[in-house]
Amino acid sequence: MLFPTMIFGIFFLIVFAVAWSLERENGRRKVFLVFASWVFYGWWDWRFVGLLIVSATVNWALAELISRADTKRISAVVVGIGVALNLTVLGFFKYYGFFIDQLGEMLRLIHWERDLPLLQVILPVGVSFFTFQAMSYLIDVHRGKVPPARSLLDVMLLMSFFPHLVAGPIVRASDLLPQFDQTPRLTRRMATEGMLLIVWGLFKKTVIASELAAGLVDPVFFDPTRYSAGDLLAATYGYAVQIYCDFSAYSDMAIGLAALLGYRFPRNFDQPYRSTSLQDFWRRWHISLSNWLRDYLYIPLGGSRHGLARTCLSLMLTMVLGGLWHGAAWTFVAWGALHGVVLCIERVWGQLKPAHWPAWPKVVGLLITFHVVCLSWILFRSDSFASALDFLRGLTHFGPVTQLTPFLAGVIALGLALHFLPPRILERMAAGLRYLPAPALGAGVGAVMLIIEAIRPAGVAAFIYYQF
Amino acid sequence: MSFDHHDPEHDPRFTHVVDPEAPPDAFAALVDKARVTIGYDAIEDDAAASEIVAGRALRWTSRAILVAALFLLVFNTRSLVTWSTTLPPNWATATIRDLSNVWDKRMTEAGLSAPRDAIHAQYEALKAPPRRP
Repeated sequence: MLFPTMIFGIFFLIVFAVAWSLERENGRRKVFLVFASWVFYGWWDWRFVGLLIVSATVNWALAELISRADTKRISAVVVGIGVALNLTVLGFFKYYGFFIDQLGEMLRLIHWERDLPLLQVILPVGVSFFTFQAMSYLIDVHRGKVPPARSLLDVMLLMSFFPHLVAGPIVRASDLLPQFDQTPRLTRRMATEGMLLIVWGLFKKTVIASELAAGLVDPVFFDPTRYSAGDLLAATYGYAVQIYCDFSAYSDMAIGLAALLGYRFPRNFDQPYRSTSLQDFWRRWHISLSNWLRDYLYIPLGGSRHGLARTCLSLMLTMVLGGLWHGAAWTFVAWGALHGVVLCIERVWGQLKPAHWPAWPKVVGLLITFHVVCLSWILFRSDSFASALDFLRGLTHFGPVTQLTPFLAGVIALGLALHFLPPRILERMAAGLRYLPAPALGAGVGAVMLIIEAIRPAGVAAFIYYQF
Repeated sequence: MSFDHHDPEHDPRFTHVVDPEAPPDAFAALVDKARVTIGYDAIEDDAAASEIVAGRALRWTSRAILVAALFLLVFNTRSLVTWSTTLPPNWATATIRDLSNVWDKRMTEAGLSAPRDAIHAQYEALKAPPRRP
């Protein structure tokens, strides 16, 4: 069940009505939301609802054990078991085929080929998100940052809550569990922000991202050798805009849907292409993942506390593993490694740059960062290294532009221009619109949705991050 | 003051509870009115007052969502038809498909699908690549 579909609209209207009718019964409300989330998840493949239930139950039990552990050592052992179990789930469903392929390739190289146990493992949607969420819960309980959840129901809802279930944001236990303790209260501002975020996300996904995917990015990346440098460059910028509009749209809609049900999720994107360094980019792009990687990987690996070399090593490991988290392919690893290398260069330059040298103008930093990110998107989007190399080679072959139209150029420009809107503009609009009478706001939202429905291409592709 | 056993919203003492999210001018007027008519003590109980405000916000939100949904049901019948054709065939979806088609026909006859069609046509014209001379 995809957010921008009629069936999800009907589903959400029912959930909204029933959830608020249970306003005075917080426990029953949570039970209902868990069931609704299972229906939402089971719409893809009901078998994986079982995985979600088992995962939540095991993680709840482990958190209970951690909180009751007599010593920190026992607690550390339990958290280690919990992290290992979650990584096993993730590893089996997401990386089994990849590792078996690599093993087979290695054995072939040393002339010791064997029949390996090949399995066609179906990837459960959102497995990367809910396993990361479960791990952060266990580690936070172990570190004493959050108390264990009051009940299994709370952990079940934390992991299954449908707005964030399949593509984040990775909402931490410290963000959601305190909200589950009390009956949520809706305010006009929250509701208006929620509605604006949903409409805005709908526009970014179904209009900008869909137009660019169908008209430019998909055909060019499918066979880059058929296109000239102009088309390839446009497809690179187009993909940068597409992936932003696709993924940030999901996050916006998730935050908006949760707000309409009375819950607050943290922001996941903050105009990332206006970053003036790669470090800045990671503070603005998929914020919940970069914070996760920082808190549970980069800092435990040593962070920046043990000198420049160790900092760079920690950065590289974090980014390479972050790349692998996105998908079981070497192109994702290379994407992460490229980000790691540039982050290290920034760190080294920051330390070695003579103090009297003037800082770069911000616009130079912005342009360099944007193009480094675009270069890395070529690796991210390409099916293989060979395809990525074809794409990069093609950037030097000049010829007629056949795929880019003035309309698509306009869509790319619009997608980039969104980054230069005043920050927090939706929140400010919501602050003003909350004074409108309900019928006026409803008619306004309906009218904007009608325009989006009239211009969006037929059908809707799955969100890019569903595959992760 | 306890309101455990009744709905504070219908308590006459709370008729004029101030909604902090009401428009600024109305806010000031309501504060004055509340102080005069029900006495300042009556809004001491923040929990009860916030419950009333939350109740009003919920009704306001529900009305806005309902209006948006009805607006789309009337003006966006084309999407309803498109969606109904994607449903797997069975007696229930066949009924939905028939109802969608009839509803779309009625709204089109009434001219209510025209705005969507006009926007769609304009947008498609914008998308078309310019003709080469």
